[in-house]
Amino acid sequence: MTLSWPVSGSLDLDRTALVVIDMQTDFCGPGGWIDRLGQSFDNTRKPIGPIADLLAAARAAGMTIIHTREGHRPDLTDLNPVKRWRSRVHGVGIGDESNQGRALTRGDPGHDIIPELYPETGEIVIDKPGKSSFHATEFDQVLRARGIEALIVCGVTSDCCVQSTIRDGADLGYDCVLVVDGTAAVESANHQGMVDVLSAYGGRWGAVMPSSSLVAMIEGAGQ
Amino acid sequence: MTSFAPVASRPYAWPFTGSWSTEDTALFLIDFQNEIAAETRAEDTIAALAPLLSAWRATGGLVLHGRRGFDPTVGLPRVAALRNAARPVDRILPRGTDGWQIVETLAPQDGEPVIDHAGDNAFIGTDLDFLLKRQGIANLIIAGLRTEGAVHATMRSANDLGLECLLLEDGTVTDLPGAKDSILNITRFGYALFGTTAPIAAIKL
Repeated sequence: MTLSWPVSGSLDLDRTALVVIDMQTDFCGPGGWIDRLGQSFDNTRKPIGPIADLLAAARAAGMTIIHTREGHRPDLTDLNPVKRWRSRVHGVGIGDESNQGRALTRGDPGHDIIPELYPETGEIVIDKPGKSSFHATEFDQVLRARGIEALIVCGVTSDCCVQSTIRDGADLGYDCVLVVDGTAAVESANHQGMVDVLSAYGGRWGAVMPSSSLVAMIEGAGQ
Repeated sequence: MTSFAPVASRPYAWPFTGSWSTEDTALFLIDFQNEIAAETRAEDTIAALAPLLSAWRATGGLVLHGRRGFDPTVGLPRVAALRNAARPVDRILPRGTDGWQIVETLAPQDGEPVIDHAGDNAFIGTDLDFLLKRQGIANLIIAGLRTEGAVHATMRSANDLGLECLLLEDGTVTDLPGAKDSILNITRFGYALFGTTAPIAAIKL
């Protein structure tokens, strides 16, 4: 049996948030961390169009919109030693100088959200030091304060922060949907593996849907 | 305290600090429960872990057991309950049922903490993080069921908390085709996004 999304049967715009994960220059812009590591950011730019469509629909409908940014305090007191060590051996250490300021460091250009998807006034920005948006942030409190029960999740990367957020969201009781064309990973194989796992059994931790369906639902619910 | 040499794991020799001991490292066996073990046909995995568990116990190191299930008087969160009921397999069971019990071969001994968790991530709604911090644990060696389920969810969370994790490749299994390889690749991607992986035989006590 495959459940529809949302499981309540109809989309309640007041109880649904659009969550855009980590669309930062460091992950999907020239000179950002991924670029500096020598990896292609072609894949992580693919969701920009679908996310822009969703943002436009959500803005028109007056929905809660939340953007997250992965990164650390400038003094790096919230950076786990193992995370720093791995990033340094990998090529560019978190907190070390990169082409766009210090990599994944709050306040520096690479850490900010790309211009195409930049938050507008009234939208919520959550700075997070980990992969899950729920780890060491006020994300859960924000959702509770707004009475949010369902999450439309998009952004990058699918195999990392997007997946961690959906998994924890599901365990905490949120009704999550992954925007399948609104997310991507650096490596296509990891992206596909993650989509396959999340799609198993009709949606193991939530639904998986294309942005076009979700835009239509938002527009329909707003009328 | 007994210290050990680094483990030959991928993508780097674990742990990153270069050494580990019974004081700072725990063995975490996640959800080796009757129904999950039957669905995933985990007999070989369980048999392969038994000698490691015995050897680990002999060193006096900490062993933790995850046990997934919900309190029947409480139930799961509404949405999670609907999704749980819609799945043909991998259902979260009520605590106390036969399928919920940990398999005999890996059953907890007195003094070994059992972490009862209602969802996949064993850190949510439990004292797992608190227990690990109180005992000074910095490193986790992880085995469990299913690879893409509770094992990966919990390892992700442990990694966010700064724990250095190693997943035992032949100490985890799933019945979802392709999922184990995907999860192992994602775990090691980008110089160990979520930790390293190694075969059980690489753990030399």
